[in-house]
Amino acid sequence: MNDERIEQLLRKAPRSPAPAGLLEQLRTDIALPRRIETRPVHPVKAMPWFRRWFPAISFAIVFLACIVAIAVQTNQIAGLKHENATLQTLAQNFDPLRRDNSEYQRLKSEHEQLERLRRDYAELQQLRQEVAQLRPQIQEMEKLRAENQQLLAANRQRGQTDDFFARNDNALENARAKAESAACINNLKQIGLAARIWANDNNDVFPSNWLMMTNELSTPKILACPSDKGRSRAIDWRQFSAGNVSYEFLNPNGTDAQPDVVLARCPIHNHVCLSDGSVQQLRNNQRIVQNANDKNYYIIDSPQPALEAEASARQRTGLPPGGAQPPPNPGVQPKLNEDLLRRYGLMPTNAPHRAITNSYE
Amino acid sequence: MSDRAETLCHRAQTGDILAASELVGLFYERMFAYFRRLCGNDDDAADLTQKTFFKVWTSLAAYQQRSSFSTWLHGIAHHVYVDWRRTNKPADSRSDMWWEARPANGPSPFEDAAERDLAHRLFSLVDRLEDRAREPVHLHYYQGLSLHETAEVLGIATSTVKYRLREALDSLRSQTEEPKLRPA
Repeated sequence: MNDERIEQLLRKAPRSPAPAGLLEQLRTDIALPRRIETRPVHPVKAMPWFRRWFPAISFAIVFLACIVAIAVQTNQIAGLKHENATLQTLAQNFDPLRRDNSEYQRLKSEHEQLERLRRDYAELQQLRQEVAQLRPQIQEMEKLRAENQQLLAANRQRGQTDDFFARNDNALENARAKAESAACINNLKQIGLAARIWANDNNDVFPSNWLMMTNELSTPKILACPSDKGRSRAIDWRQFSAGNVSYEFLNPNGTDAQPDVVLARCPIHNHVCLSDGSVQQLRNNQRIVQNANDKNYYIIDSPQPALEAEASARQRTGLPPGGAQPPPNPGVQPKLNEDLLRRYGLMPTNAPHRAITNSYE
Repeated sequence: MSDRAETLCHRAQTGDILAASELVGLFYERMFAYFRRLCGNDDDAADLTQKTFFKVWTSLAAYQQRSSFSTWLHGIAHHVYVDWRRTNKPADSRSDMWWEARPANGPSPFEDAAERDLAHRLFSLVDRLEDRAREPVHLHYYQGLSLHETAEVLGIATSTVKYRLREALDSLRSQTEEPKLRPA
């Protein structure tokens, strides 16, 4: 008998019938438990590893963070304790230091007072020495003063006092005139320098009037001759007018290529500023002449007895040399005609040019 | 029947007495026949059947339907039988007469008298097998469980069930073969 036959027979094994009453007995013995909500079992879903380990990882991170925070705080506390101990040890030494400091301050103040007293004493000694030195000088001065009074009294008695003062006045007047002449020369030199600077910036052409050189001229005061007592000096360019100018501007719109051309002239002192910036005083045998071709003014050597006679007459009468006269009323602005405006460089450049009548020829 | 049994079990878990009663009606005969073959008498079989269903009701809430209700029920029955075997004497081996005295359920499953005689002899040989070989035969052939269900009931691997069944069949075949005539 093979295996299949055996298996077939085994599967046909008879089943004994259950005894009567067993089913009822089993049904009466049914004792179900209380109703329990059961949840269906779901197969474990595959969860991502991070989601599965997230609670552990988060706890580990929090734990590590707490450990790090505790370590940092412990370190800080240890540092603070060490610092506190150091400060406490230092604070114990503060009281002696304070006492030493107060003692030092007291000694320092006493030393300063002592030094001040020494200086005062030395100064006092020096003053005493000076007083001792001055006392004989005072006595000598008193003696000299008494002698001087005696001499003055004796001179008055001799009647020579008036001549002495007259000689002193003449010498003072001559010195003042020389000083004013020197100042006039200085003014002309500054004018010449300013004109050359202006020409250097404007194609070697001189300006047409004084107002164009306000940036180059330091002050309008130099346009008035110190001997010209009738003219007032302008303090600044806003108050400047033709009445504040003593000098004649003889080379407007000219070029600095000809150094012998007269640029400006002082009619009082006969000082002449040439186009090269040099200043010279006209001698008695020199005069200024305007060339008929180029209309420029030049210095020529040609004695003119009439002018010399006029100059000598002016010197005798006390008037300053030269042809210009001070205005009759310095407070009122003079009324200038076109020729005077052009002469003084106050004519605008675009005005029509007209031949100048040279009063020196 | 499996789906029907699962539905009834679910209803019984929710406290449905009628479903529990219907479950008893479905399985009590199989359980009684199982115990009857193992114990050898009706009283012990009825007693063990009652114990089995009592344990079913007490542990019904823990049933999570990981296996079929039939497998779970046979597992409880197996443990009940093992406990009974520990406290009682081993079952008497059934003789051929005993098997012949068993009334057939309905028409006889055997085709003729020779087959019936052979089956009775085979059944008696099964009762003489060792327990480790006899239990898989009861569950797989008598109770109609599959190899996987048999393995779950016995708590062993399916390959082990196959091996033990192979041992049982070899033993039965060797004992049922007719002795060969020696040549004169």
